[in-house]
Amino acid sequence: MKMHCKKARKNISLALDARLQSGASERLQAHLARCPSCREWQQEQKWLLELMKTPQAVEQPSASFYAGLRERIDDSRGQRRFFILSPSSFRPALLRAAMALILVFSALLGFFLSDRFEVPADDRVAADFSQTMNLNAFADLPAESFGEVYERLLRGGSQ
Amino acid sequence: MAPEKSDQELIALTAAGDQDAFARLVRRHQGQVFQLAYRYSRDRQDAEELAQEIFFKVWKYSRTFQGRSAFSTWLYRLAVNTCLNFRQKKKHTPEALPILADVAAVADAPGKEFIARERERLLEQALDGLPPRQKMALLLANFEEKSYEEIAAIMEVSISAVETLLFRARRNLGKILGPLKTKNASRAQVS
Repeated sequence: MKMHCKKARKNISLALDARLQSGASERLQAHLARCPSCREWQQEQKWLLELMKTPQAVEQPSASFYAGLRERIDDSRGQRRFFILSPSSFRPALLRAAMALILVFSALLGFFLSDRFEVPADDRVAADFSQTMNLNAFADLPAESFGEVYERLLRGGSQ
Repeated sequence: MAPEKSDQELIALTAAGDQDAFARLVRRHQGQVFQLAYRYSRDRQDAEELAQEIFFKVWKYSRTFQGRSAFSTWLYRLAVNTCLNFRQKKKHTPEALPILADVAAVADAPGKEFIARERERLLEQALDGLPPRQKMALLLANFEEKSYEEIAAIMEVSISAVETLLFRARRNLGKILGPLKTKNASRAQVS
């Protein structure tokens, strides 16, 4: 089976890393034997590999590297401490949880305080009436004024 | 003397907020992380910034490490992703390669050390001309000496994708640096 140059070159790349299976390797050798262009490509790739093997100077981070890293971590911890004020606190899940808490708290508050504000049954009608129309509002009106006459009428008195 | 703690133990302690354990992890892996960042960015300041960002992510995401892969694979994954995003953010434009006349002049210059340095510089510039993922795959394979399986795990791609990335990287590198080889070969023949 013939091998095309593109496939052959991919196999050359694999062969350089010792990743080519034996069958494919034999087919590659057969292709290289009759393809000068791919032989040249193989030589070029070997040369590049040697070039990359040139030892490079090993670099180390400077002393300020640790200080900078420490600073970043401390900064992030500071942000976490004040997370309530950060935009992340407005995330939907947190917002929903906060609303649920408020609802539960309101329900409990209503349950425990409802007795304190309940008007006794006997006085309820008078209280309702007093809330809707307080007749004492007319107490200081001048005699025979319109308001005073109206009040007398409401109380069921005669003119 | 107590035996040295493993990476797995140290990252678990880091996740629990142990700063000493984190400092030991940094000391143990700073060399390889800084080296990768430096090879990728070719700039000392950028490499320090990158290494800081990588170790900050180790601290930040230490709780997410579940030990499904080796710690070094997880660390390299963080490093590779940080490097690739860093380059995208900065929109770095690589310097143009010198014309061949300059290269020839360099080859004529006396001193093997100088020539080796110059070759290294040209190689780095050529690497900078590659697409980021191809460059990273090549750095991991040829400089960090990672296997295809390791590169696949680090870059979160299939092994056949690693094969393709490396093949394309080498093909592109050949296009960039190939003329330099041809020129040197013809000069050697003449002399």
